[in-house]
This record gives sequence, structure tokens and C-alpha cells, in this order.
Amino acid sequence: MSTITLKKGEILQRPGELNSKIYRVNSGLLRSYSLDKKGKEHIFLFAPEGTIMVDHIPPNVPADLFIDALEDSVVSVLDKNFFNSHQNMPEMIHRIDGLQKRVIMLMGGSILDRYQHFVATYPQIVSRIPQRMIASYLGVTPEALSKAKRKK
Amino acid sequence: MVKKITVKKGAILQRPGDKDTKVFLVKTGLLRSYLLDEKGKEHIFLFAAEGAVMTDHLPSDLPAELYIDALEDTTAVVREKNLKTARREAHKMARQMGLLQKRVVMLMSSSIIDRFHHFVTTYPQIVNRVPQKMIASYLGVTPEALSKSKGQYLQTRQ
Repeated sequence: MSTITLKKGEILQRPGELNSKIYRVNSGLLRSYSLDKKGKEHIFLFAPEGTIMVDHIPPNVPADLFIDALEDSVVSVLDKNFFNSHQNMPEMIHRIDGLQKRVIMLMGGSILDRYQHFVATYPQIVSRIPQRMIASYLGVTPEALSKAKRKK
Repeated sequence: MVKKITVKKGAILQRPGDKDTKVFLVKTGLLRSYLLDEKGKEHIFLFAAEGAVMTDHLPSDLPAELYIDALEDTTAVVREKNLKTARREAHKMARQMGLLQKRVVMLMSSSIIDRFHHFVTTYPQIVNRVPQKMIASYLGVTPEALSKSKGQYLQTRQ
């Protein structure tokens, strides 16, 4: 296991890269995202201090996602076999639970429901990231988000 | 505690709000999970055909979020949700996380054709076993939009 220090804006992983790692965030904030064919950015997940950022593909398969640092960050780099270790099963179960909620949100939730899901999932980062990134995570436009928040 | 159940097509195995939810390992047949939104519209979350696992990914002491029903006559093994059994299936859970990641990325960014391609590669064995309206619901698109794009998709494959 190694520890690395990142400047805000640094890119840790790009789509297509092999041998992807697991990043445990000690301080700072990481983000994963994809670019669609039109070059539009879609945020997949955030990982603030105390959480894990990972592209959920086997290490011998090319990565799907970008991972970058939204703040200066210190992270521990772990091998993908972390998830094969039995001690980490509760973390794995917690992550699957979070992904289920995220799919449900994207399929059926109103903008306000989506925003509440975001706040409940990431209470510690609500005021640390710009509204347009929250909107991207929710799959809505920044305008629609700001309107829904005013109505609340 | 493991037991085997056989259910008829249409049987509901779990409803939102149910407690003490289980894990279903499908031996034969086809299960589906879905939710109803506030307007009563159905959104399909996942399918599970033979060899796959179907479950509501919540701790068993929390109320379930999803319906689970049988789209075909189905035989499944029912497992308790606990760490001991989960550990035996770590590789299945890792695969499930990969699947959910691809599903989120698909819902956020893909064209209808890409979404259909994702469905076909994720579930090659059930493409001809579920009605188009269910595939559309899984993809988060209307059946009309799917039918239009599918023609284009099949042409590009020929």
C-alpha cells in the first residue's frame, strides 16, 4: 500500500487504462466521471475523506471512468484484491446499497428527491462543490436544480 | 438456512416495506425487481435469469425498496442476508457492483442505441424472453423510442 498526495485538478485515472486501483481518501475529495460522445461530463460518484473511490471493473479490464481530485487530497492506493478480502465485505455491501439507491433515483426520482438523496449521501460535501457538479451527479440541468431548490 | 422455492409466473416474492428480506439464487426461470414511482409508473431495476442472484441490496433489518416478482415459472434457492453467506459469494458481489456501475453510467449518458446494446450484452439469455415494454422500462426510455432505435441497432449489426 502506498500513499500519494494530489493537487486539485490532478487526474488519477483515465478510461481505457488497465490495472486500475482502489483509492482510500485520507483527506480531500475525489470524483469519478464519464464523458459521453458529445463530450458532456456525467459525474458518477464523489469520495470525500474516509471513503473509497474505485472503478468497479476487474483490474485486467480497461477502466470505464475518469477519476480526478476536486481538492488537494491525500489518498492510499490499494490493489483491487482489496474486495476479495473478507474483512472488507461490510464496505462492499454498503457500496452496493448506495448504487442501488442511485439507480432508483435516476429512474424514478423528482429533482427534489434527487437533491435530497445527494444531501443524505454526501452531507459533508454539499457546500464544497459547485452547483453544476451537483446537477451533473443528479442527471439534471443546473437551471432545473436551482428552480427546484427555490420551490422547496 | 437455505431453502428452495418454486413459484408460478406472476408470483410476487417481495414488496416495498417488507422486512427481513432474502437473497434469491435463480436455478431456473426469470425474476425481476422494480419500483413504482409516485405517479404509479413502473421502473424495472434488474432482471435475474438462471445462475444469477436477485436481491434488494439493503440490510435485512431495513424495509425493502423494491418489488421482486417472477416473469416465468421459477425455481430459486432462498438465502438469509448475513455476512457469512455473503463472504462465500464475494466474486458475485464484485460482479454485481460492476453491473450497477455500468447501469448508472448508461442511465446518465447513453443514447437509446447504446442503452439497448448494454441490455443485450448484460442479459444475452433473456432478450427474447421479456416483452419490449419491459426492456424499455429497464432502459428508462419509451417503448416507441426503443422500437425506432432497435431497427437502427439491428441494421448496424448486420
